[in-house]
Amino acid sequence: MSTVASNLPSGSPSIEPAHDAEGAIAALRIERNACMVASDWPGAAGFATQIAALPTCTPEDLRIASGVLSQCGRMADALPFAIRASLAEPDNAEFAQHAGCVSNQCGDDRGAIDFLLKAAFLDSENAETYQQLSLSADRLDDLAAATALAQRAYQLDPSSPHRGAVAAHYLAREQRLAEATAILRRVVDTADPSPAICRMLAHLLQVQGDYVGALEAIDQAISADPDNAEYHAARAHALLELGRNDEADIALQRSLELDPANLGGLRHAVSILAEKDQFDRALSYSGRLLERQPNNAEFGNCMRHLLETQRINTAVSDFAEIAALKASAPARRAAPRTYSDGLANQFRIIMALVLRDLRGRHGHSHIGLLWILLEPIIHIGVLAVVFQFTMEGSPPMGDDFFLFYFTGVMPYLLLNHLVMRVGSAVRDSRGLMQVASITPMDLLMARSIVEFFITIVAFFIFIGLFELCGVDAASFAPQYVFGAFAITWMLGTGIGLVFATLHEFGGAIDSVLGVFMRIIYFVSGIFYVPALLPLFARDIFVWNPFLHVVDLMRIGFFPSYDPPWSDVPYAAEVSVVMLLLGLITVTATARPMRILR
Amino acid sequence: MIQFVDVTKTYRTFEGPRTILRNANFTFDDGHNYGILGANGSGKSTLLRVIAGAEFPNSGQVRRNGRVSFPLGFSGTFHTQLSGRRNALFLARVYGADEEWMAEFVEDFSELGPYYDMPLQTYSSGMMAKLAFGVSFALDFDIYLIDEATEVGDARFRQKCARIFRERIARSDIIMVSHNGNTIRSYCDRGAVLLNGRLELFDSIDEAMRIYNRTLGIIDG
Repeated sequence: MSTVASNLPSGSPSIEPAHDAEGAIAALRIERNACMVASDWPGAAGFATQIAALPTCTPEDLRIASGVLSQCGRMADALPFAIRASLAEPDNAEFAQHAGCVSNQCGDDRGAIDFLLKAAFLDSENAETYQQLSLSADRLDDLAAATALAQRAYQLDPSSPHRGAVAAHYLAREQRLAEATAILRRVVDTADPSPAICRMLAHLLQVQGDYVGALEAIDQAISADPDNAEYHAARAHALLELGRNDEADIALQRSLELDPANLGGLRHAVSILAEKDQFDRALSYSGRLLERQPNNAEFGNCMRHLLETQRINTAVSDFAEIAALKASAPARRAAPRTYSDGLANQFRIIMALVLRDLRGRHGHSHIGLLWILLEPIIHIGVLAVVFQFTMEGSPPMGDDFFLFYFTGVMPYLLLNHLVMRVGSAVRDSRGLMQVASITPMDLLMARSIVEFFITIVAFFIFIGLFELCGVDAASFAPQYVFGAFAITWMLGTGIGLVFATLHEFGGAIDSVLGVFMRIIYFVSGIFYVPALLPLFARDIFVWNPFLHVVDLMRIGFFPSYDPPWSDVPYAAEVSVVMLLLGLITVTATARPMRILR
Repeated sequence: MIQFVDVTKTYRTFEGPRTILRNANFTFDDGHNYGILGANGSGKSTLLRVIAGAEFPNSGQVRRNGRVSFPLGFSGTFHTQLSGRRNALFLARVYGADEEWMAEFVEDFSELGPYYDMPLQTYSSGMMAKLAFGVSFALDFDIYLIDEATEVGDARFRQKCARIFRERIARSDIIMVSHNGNTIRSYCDRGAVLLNGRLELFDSIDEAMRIYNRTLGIIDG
């Protein structure tokens, strides 16, 4: 029965006759509307909230409550009413838009977007909705969306200079300077622009090197607002770029008269002059800066830099002098290079890289060696403790759980380190390849050598530790054990090289690598003996070359162990093929690997 | 001498590939210092890396006669966990220089004091630059490549670098890239302008500057 003008605050309130049932609410509405007509917003807010608290209040009442609270600046109080109004009358585009605006003001970007999208759905031609959406998008760091929305708002309402300026602002932030300039130009040409918009246009043109246009725009800004110090400084900068130094001088003077504390304009003028090689004038401006603020460190630095550059310039003032010095120098001859030199060079470089990698691995601390031992100790220790209790008694081979797991874990760790560290070698030290003689292959080979060396050192330390603990570990058969290490080295290096290549196509390969190594861990008999597997599983697992490598290692340590499925030549063949494949893929991608990202 | 034969080089940007050189042929002669002018984003730094041999051209050949440095002051070759001395020793090994002499020269030149034996993680960017310059000078290249954008440290150190170049002007050449003619004028006797996939060489810096400024629209006609 009651209708209140839905547009706030410009809407005209209408007054209702008081019926018995709704006498109270109608009376309150009259009071509220009277306050609104008188622009007494706090008063209106009091009545509006009272109305909104009554069960018979209408969505319009809620909307008005939110409106008057917004007018009072009480955005947080307004928000619940705005939301209730929009929820109570979901088909009202204006209510949804209002709720979105208030959410925006309260900093609730996602809430704002919900309401604003609804408003846009109900009324797709309302510029303000898009403008508010662009604000939310910007708050959520989606600059591209903010720009598109602001442009749409401007398209719908091209007569609004404000919407044009906002669209231009977003475009400029996206570095789309030409489009931003075009919009601002249209705004300046069609509407009566504010000086701030002219200033913005001038800035855009200046950045793009159109100094004449920038000067024109800033002059327009100054004619509208002649007493703005910053405008005069900007005018001076455009004039300096155009080489009209005397006029620039006057403009700077005017700027400083208007705002003596703001020396930014003068400081920027120094930069422009230095960039244009006009050192005398730059020095004089720099002097003025120091005159006004003798203790400003930045101004001092600026002056020192200018003096320095000038001194270097005058030290060798003329290229003819350099040319003469050059010409008088005796001719140089570079020593010819031979193939064996090249080979020796490459070897020297790889050795230098190996040393660097070894030294740099654990920084300056001496716990490096300890760390190398710690990883296998933890690994073997966990396996031994867990399985010692579950198996209750003796290990699958030999008498010592630790030795049994040692024979599985060592080759696995070597494989894992080779794959991981060779795989990431190029990415880790791309900068090194700025030295032309260091190739990707050098980096990868050095990594591979380092990992092999570290594992072998750790291996012998562990053998010593076993002996100290009274476990006979030293009487292994070296041909099997080192054969196993050699095959592991080829296999690991080969896979590492392939992954190094794949790295060039994106970092996502890292997760693949992790999964790959975990699968290898479970299907290679590292913490179990393949003999314990069901036959069908073993028939599948023997296709894994690394399983044979682990077996070979165990054959070397436990003379009685002689698995019938063992096929070491197969493992060796796969490893050689893998290594060759790795060498080929790396050679093929050596060029892109050099490119600095 | 560095000779570019039919060289094409592109580099990737966010907006797609950009061509720096298209079938370019030119030669940097021995006994001259070259200053290459190019606008920001024209690919000066990449060109310098191609000259250094750190990157390969997409097609064509770059022939070098003599030892060419890596871009001067570039600190990407350093290992940040290692000390300045260790890094200097590493580069001495890579270039086959006398390791002991090199370590001492760099210690002397870079003025890092006790920091010389501390990991690079503890260095400021200025100290990093000093070390990088010290290493470059110690290696005694025939041709030094300088990217003017690299930071050089304080003014006194800049002067020291300028002095070294003056001393070596007879035995080492310089190829420098810059986006303004200021520094180039004080180091180089020949100029070049990198523009639209071409590198145009000039017998004087002033000539190169004139052409370059015209392309920037600073001077008309």
